Amino acid sequence: MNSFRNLPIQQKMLDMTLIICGAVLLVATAALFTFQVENFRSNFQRNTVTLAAIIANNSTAAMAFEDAKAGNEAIGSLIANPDVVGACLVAPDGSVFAQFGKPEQGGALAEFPAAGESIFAGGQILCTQTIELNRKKIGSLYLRVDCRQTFEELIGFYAMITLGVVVVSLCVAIFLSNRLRWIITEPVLQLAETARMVGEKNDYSARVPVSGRTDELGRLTESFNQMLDRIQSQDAALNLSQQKMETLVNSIDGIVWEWNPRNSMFTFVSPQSRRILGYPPERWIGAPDFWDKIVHPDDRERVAKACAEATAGQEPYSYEYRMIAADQRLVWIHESGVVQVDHGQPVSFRGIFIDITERKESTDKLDKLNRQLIETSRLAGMAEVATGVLHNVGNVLNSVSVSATLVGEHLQRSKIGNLRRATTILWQKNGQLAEFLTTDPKGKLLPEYLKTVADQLADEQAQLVAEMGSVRQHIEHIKEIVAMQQNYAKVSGAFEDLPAASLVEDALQMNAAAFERHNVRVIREIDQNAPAVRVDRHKVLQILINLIRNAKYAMDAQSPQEKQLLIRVEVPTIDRVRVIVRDNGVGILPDNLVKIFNHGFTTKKNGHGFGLHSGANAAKEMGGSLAVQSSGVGQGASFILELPVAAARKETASTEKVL
Amino acid sequence: MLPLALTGLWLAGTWRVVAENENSVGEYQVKAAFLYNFTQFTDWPATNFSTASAPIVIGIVGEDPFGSIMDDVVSGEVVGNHPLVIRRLRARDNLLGCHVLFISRSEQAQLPAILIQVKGHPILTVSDISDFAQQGGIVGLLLVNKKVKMEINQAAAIEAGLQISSKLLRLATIVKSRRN
Repeated sequence: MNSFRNLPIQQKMLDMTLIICGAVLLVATAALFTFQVENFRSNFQRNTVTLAAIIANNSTAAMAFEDAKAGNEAIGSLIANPDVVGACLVAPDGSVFAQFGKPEQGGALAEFPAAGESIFAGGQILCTQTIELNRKKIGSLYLRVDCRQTFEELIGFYAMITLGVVVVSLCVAIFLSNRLRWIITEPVLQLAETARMVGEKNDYSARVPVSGRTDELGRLTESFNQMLDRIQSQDAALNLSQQKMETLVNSIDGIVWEWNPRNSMFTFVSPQSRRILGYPPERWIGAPDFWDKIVHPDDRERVAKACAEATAGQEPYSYEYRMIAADQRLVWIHESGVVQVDHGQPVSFRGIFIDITERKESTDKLDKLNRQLIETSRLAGMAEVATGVLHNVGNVLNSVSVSATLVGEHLQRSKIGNLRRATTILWQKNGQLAEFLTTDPKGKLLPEYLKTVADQLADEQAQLVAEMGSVRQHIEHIKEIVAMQQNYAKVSGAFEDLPAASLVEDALQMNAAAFERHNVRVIREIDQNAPAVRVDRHKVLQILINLIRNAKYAMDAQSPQEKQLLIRVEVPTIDRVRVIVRDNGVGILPDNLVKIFNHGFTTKKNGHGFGLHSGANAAKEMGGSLAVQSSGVGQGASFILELPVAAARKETASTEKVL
Repeated sequence: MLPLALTGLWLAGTWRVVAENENSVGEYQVKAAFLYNFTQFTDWPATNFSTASAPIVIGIVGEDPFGSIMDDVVSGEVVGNHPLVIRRLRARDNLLGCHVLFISRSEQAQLPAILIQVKGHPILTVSDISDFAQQGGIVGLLLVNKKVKMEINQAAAIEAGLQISSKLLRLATIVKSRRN
């Protein structure tokens, strides 16, 4: 069957035609043959019966008149039929009246069927015929005919005819098949030839000659040509797209690559590898473990580990490490890629190496710059705070000085001299004291005078004590200011649960002197029930002081009567506390609203553009946020600092919510 | 049907025995059977029977050589629809009512007159008078080697309007009328 499958289609068609013709002929011949054999048998039998009837009829008179000679003549006519083996006429008493051919001996007559019937027996037909005269049986005819020879002759004849028919039919079939097969095979062969050309030469411009047929082959040809059209255009598009891809890949400032993890070899490396690392693509492709050779030994292990994790996670990955270029330069590489996994096994890595050496260097510089800025800012902040502290202390010292002056003046103007004069008089009158006090007009007045002096001294004492109390209070105040400053000067980083109101108060307190200097009116709208916030005290103070300073700065241009700073503390949601610092100063341009928190953005002459940037970052670090609102130039501005509520409080709140 | 067949069987058996073993007496027995058989191989014109079941009349002219044999043979026999009847006659009787006419040897002298009487009528004339067929009779019976043979004058039969079966003709010797 396989060998038949591999035959040329023309041969196949011929074979099939012959097989079909042969099968049809076989069936037809078999049917005809069966019919003819059956026909022959029934004809032969009928003929035999007819023959017997004729002989019987011809024998009636002979039998009736017992004329044996005539009887023998009658059946002797059977000699004309070579198939007749034998026949005999038997009288009703069983005696043989006349006989022809082979005598029926012994019980041979018993083989014969009942009168009027015929049977087949061993290739012979046995027929019994009654001889009747005037409806009376006057004898019987037994006829034995051998049909084999005739049958064999007939079979031979039929075989010859059948053979002849088969031979002629097959010749006609082959002739017609040869004449007609080009109708089918020609387009098929053309298709096959075109397909071979396309397959072997990748020549998609080849086309099958169009025959104009509309049958399946015609449509197949048409479809095949259409397919070629599409393939050709797709091939062209593919080439174009490949060129585009190549151009793109080559224009990327990085090395595009594909790596096969099975043999640790690169299968594709874009030509940029020559420029960036000095290795042409040929050196990568086909060299096992090339990557391991050029990666920096200090980074190899770390990257290999990250790579293994990326493979396991089957996710896009990226990491940075150093490579050693062909000229021994160290090149920082940012590698990003994807792993392709088939049945749990990584089959390919694809990605890109980007040279980030410059970025790495500039990042280092930037970090350094940032650190410097932070330091500057911190120093600036500390200076500001120190100014405030000194101012506050100065104010209090002023009060202390006033009190001291008052005490001095009191002491200078003390009534204690009056007492000294009275005691001097009493000393001079020693010995005559009683007389003096009772008789001398001056002496009479002296007790009254001493009482007055005593009262005056008591008043003085009370005044001094009060003044000294005030001084002590001022000194306490100074202690407080210093203690507060020490509090904020501590190293930051620790989170504490603090009431927002007190933080705001502290910030205002630190700026109190500045407000006084600039005639700023401060309006407090503070929700005293605002919950504690979990924050870094230092950072919040820094943010608030920065906001207050900015507000103060924004209001510089205002006339002193109109400078107004609003500080509001409110609770917008259960887990947030909002501090709003609003001024009625110059306002903010809408364009600047979006970049106001950017690093380096400032509108101040001497600003460094770091305050709001670091403030927003700090708020974010604490889980809060810093936002700005302004309707425009001259409309003032609001800075909104949101801080997270302390955890304990939040938990209670959420429990309440659930309940 | 069975009794008829048995009768036929019996008859046939009887004939053979008679024909082979008892020549003197058997001769007329055979001839009687012949007479009976003639009725079966001869066709009369349909007009010769008054009805479809009218009998076939076998006439015996002159001295009856058969005795009772003839009666025994035809007794109960029917050919076609016609029963067989024996009628014994004398030469001067009207012979025209017969279908078969056996002319005994005793009437040898009267033969020409009898033949003239029946001439043109469908009557099958049979006789064992020598040269009967040559003299214008239709069937002549003669004994050859102790066997009864037939001579048939076919022309006479045709002239009489009778049709004799070819089967019978094949058994007989065909003769012609002798011209006087």
